Amino acid sequence: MPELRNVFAITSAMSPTAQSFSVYLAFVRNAFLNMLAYRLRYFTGIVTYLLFVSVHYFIWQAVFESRPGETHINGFSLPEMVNYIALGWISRSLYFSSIDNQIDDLVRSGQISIYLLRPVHFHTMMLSQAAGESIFRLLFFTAPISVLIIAVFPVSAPESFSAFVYFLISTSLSFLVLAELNFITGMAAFWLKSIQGIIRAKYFLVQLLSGLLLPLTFFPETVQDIVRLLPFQAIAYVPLQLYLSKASGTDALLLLGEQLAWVLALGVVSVFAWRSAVRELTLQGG
Amino acid sequence: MAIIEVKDLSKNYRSYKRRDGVWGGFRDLFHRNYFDVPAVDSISFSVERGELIGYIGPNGAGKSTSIKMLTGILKPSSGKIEVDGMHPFYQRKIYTKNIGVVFGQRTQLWWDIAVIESFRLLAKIYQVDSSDFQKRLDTLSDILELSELLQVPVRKLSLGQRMRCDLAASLLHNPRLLFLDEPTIGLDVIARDRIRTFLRQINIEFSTTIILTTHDLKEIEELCNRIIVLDKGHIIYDGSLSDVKSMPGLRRSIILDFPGDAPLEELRQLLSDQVELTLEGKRRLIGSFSPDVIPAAELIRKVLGKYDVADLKLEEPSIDDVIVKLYTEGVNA
Repeated sequence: MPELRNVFAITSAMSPTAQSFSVYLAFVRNAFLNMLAYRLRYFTGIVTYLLFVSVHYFIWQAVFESRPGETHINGFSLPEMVNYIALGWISRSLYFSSIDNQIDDLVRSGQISIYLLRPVHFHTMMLSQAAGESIFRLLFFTAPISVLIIAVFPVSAPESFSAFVYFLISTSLSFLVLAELNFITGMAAFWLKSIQGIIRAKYFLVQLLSGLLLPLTFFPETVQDIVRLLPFQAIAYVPLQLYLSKASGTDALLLLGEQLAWVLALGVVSVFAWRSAVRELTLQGG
Repeated sequence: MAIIEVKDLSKNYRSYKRRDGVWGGFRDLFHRNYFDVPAVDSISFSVERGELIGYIGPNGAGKSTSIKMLTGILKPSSGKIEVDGMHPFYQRKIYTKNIGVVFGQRTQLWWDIAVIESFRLLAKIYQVDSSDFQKRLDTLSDILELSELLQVPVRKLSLGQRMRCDLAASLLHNPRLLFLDEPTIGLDVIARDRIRTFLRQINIEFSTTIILTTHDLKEIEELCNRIIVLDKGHIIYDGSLSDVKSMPGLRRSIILDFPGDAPLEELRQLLSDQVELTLEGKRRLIGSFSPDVIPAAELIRKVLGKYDVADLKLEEPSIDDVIVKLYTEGVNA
């Protein structure tokens, strides 16, 4: 191999910042490609989501029928509730991620060592991959279920175009809030033998306290006060309030700011959790 | 200047002792009796640029743990470690740019996408510019015969194919230092040979320092001029392969072919207890002896002086014998 010398000569590197952005973009792309191998998996998901929305739709219809004369319950009318449920599940199909389970797998299988060998920021890499998966789902999951749900249920468009834009921005922030929460949950795998219990507990906490199952105004006042101090409501309740124009103008911007603050706060926790987790890492065998 | 400097490096795993019975199990929930298990216990060595080192030891000797400290995956419990002027753990993100690692048991490729896509992503991660990438890819796929594998998803590759791809993956960024943990596990003879030739080549031409862990001692014998042997967390030997082969107490073999029936009993009497003789077939005798007890020259003189011998062959102790002896008795036995 006479040409070996030229092939492995040392060459100059490109500018670090331009490079590092494209590295994480490459992770987004890769996760997208990875998901393509499993595109059929989402057909069952489409049916499941349609079922969820149907069940909740009929429950709320029954609730409103049992209270004749009341147009609003806890501030929501029936048409608003239908929008709330439909958009709640549509946006969930986009913002959810499985970072917690992915980290759990990596640590238990020991494959985490491969990730530690790469000159990349693990936290940013996991978020980039999750973003790639979400973009994949946007095309192959969120789009088809949106069409189906809107065709089957009386879903209405938001009152204003700005409400719709707020909703989109807010859903992107929901993705980040939940991704950080999942990352922090996943970190527990470095200390504990099994974190499946914790992952399940977190799952139900998010379902209930994010406002996905029912609007937070349905909780007792004291519970509401506590829930408002927690990050979960920034996942589902905030974007849905924006879609339904329950907040607009400055209030809307404040809600978005609150979400952003959660992203940053949880991001800081993630980074510190990761630092101490790596120190804790013990890998026996393989 | 040394590329690897390790001094008194240790890694302890924390473990706890379980109490007996139901009440003991209950107490364990609240208070555990922790103690430290040393996996690597105060090892020291240094490696010069361009060395090709065999890093060997039985299972549980601390090989993997020390490799994981050298590659920045595990934080050492104590001791000094400096590789390429950096602390592998604390400067991991910069440090890992200049090393290549292959863990034979794991793949660094992405399972569900084509091999070439994994390579492209790795090129991004390691900031290899596209013309370098193309050149290296062409060369590596030529040497390791990858051209037909590049479009296949990793999950569809055989173990040998995957190993070749993993090896290429570890070299795309042209690392100065290469850690190979069982790199030829499960490969056929031709593939093994190809990989060995390649490793020798990059080692000589680019002074790529290579640390090779393997259970295949023949591989060590073919590639490495220096071996580091670990056992129970300690380094029990660090030096050249030829030195360890001449260590006292190792037995050599002599194979004697006679024109007629081998005179087994007569020879036993002649050589008394100095040589352990066994008969193979009718005409061949195999003798195992220790050179300190009877030098080979004396043994041959004695036999040839009295008997007609058709053919004669002396055999060096095999590397397997050397290693087994090291594990069981240590160097000075």
